[in-house]
Amino acid sequence: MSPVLLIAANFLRQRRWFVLIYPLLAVAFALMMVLPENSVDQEVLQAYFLQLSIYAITIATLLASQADFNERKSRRVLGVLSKGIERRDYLAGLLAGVFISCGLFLTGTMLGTLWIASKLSLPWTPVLEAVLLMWLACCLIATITTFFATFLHPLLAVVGAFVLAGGGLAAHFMKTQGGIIFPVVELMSTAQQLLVGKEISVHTILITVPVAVVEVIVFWLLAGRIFARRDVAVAIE
Amino acid sequence: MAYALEYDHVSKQYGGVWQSKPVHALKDFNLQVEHGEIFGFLGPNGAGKTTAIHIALGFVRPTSGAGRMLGESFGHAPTRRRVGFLAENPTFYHLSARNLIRTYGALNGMRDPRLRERVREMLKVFDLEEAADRSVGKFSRGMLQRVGLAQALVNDPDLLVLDEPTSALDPVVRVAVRELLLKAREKGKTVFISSHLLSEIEMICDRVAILHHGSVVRLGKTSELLESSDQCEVVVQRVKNEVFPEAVARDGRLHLLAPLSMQRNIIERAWAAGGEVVSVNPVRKSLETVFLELAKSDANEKNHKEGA
Repeated sequence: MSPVLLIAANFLRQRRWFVLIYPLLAVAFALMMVLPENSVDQEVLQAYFLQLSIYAITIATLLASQADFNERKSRRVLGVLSKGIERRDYLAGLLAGVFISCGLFLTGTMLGTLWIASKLSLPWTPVLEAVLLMWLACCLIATITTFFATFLHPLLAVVGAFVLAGGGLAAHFMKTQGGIIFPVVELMSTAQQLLVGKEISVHTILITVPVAVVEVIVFWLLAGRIFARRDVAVAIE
Repeated sequence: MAYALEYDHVSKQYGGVWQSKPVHALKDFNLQVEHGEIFGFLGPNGAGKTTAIHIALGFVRPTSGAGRMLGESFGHAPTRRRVGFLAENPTFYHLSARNLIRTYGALNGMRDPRLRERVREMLKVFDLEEAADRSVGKFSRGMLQRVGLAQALVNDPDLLVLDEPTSALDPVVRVAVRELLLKAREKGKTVFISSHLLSEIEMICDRVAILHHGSVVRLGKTSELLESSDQCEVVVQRVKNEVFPEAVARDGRLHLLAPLSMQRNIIERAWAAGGEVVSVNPVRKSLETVFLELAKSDANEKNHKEGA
């Protein structure tokens, strides 16, 4: 297994209960919504998906903000970085762990959404597409948070990431194109629209998705450069 | 000549911008460790030993100066594949001992079947075979240190950097580690070892550096460092105690500790009293003595400054 995957595997192993229970909770929410006495309509589907999308973004941000911080605090980072690993590969391993955690949570969300959608006799393809867009949004916010976490306290890193994502939210409400710059909210909004069968312009997908993918790579590289200049063992003897 | 480890005017300052008082962990630190030697790195707490090690491995960036490890600049990741490192109070992923050693080997780019073979070997050397499938999270400190040594050695490194490697080990494992390090030297490997267990250092190190307040204050061959230049021990027998009241009687002999300048006088007094001189040897200090002398001079310096 490559070093990046090994680091990701250990990240997941350390948070195994969290990673396993949260997807189950997502399914449990869906079960509660389709209980016989509850009436199910498209609004319920939208509310469920929106709520769990916000959870997914929050999980991505919190996991990413603490990933590197916890490793440094516990000094486990010394054992790993004493091996032939570049700092950016180390971050890639932690990020891969966060991406997989979000992927598992969104898999639970997808199962729940599909369940509700099946009750409404809606097609399943938009659900898959919406979940994929949400996963990309999670990857992006996690990478931005990791970037900030390389030089800020985790709490401030979360604030920094939300400020960037908040810019997109403001642009979304002002109905300007600014949301494309850090397209977390743009991706969430597109996913919501896909879910209820609204027409999405190909243009939006062709720009938003590539911008998000490029930003994930750029923020990871920037984080790697900054992290390479940071002291990871700062305890003064 | 390329050294295994080389520090060139390295300084490291912690804090400064936000903290009121910056801490100078290393000050114009110079050191060269040759290939194939076991090098002891000593110093009181806060002397800067761990900082120096962390700079070599790239965990910490020097404020000024530079250095090379195995011919490459500090922090060069591919070079670290040829290095084994054990941190002081190591913490690891909570895996089984076998998986942990395997993981760290794989992080260094090792692959099966060599990795499998080395893991088996390490478990055997450090007497971890029975505990191989238990989580290291449940290990005692001594066992954790054994796992730490195993992961440091799994890649058969050219340079082994050990920060307090034997402090929590029982005597049996300590002897095994000592033999392992001596064997590594025979194979041409370099060992850089920081320890408070001075007797260990004395036994295995070819050269020693003593670090104090971030600078090297003593450096040399262990034997030279321990040899006192001004004292000798004279052992005499068949002489009455009254002749040498300051002597210590042991096994029917008198042991005298005296300045070298008195050596002739003592021998003549012993002969005049009808005694025999059994041996005359230069006094060897223990590292502990060297260390304590250093601490004492530091305390004197402090008092002097406070007095001024």
